[in-house]
Amino acid sequence: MARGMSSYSNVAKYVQGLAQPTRFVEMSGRAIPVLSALTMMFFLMGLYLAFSSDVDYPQGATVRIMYVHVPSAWMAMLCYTVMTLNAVGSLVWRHPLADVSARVAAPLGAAFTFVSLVTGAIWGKPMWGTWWVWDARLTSMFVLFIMYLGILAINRAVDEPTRAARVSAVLIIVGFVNIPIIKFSVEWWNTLHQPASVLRFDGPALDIEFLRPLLIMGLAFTTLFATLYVASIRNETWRRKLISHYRLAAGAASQRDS
Amino acid sequence: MTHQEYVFAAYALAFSVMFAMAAKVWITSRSYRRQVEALAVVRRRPNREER
Repeated sequence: MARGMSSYSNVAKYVQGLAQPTRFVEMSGRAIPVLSALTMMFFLMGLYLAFSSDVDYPQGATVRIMYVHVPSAWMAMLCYTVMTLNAVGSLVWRHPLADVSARVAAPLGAAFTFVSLVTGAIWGKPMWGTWWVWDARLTSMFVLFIMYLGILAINRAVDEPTRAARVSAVLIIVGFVNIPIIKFSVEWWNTLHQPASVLRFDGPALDIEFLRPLLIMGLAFTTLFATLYVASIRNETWRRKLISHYRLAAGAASQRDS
Repeated sequence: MTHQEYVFAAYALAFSVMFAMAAKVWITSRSYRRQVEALAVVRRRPNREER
């Protein structure tokens, strides 16, 4: 029991340690090469499986668009969920690393949402006969894209970091209401978009032939997101360190001159 | 457009966006790393007044 408690406190101490920006930068230096290698490996495996698996009877080869469209939609929603958790951390505990983590995820999330929207349109044209319809799933994904752009704009518009952190954290948390709407839109409303076929309470509806490449591509997108996310947090930590140093140097120089 | 062309368009777009995103993060990272390393060298150097 005592040993269990001490191992728990060791893990807690380790996690708390990572929350310190300097420790995080050290850890990221070791984690990024490993994550990059995993990303490359999963992408190679995923692409091989995507182009060697059978095509669908009614859809033909266009079913292969699913292997980039679905994982990018998953990442768009995962990224917003991660942003919301960090925004709560930033707002409640005022932790600087939580603020950094919440802010740097927005460009990554916007890129994944963009990929999901455009690959969906490319898949929609041969299957539905149209690039776009204003159905609940497509519209809620488009709203998510606008939310990401709004968060990016606010981050750039507010100069003072503490105020910018608070404003963007509130916006991120309010915008989280859209995530369950995206997930359940295909069940709540009649949509042209098909219902969920992987993340379902009664198991995936896809055949293993399609499920295997989809899950491997899902892993590839997840490791890519993790790599870019950790690298972006490190970049923002360095940027803030440099800004504070330049400010100190400018202050010291003006004191010396006067 | 044939089905293969739609597939090619989707993969080309997805991988171009992801490559651009990764390249932007990597270039920014390289730039900040150089500045931080240069700063560390300057900070290790003894102060001119102390010398």
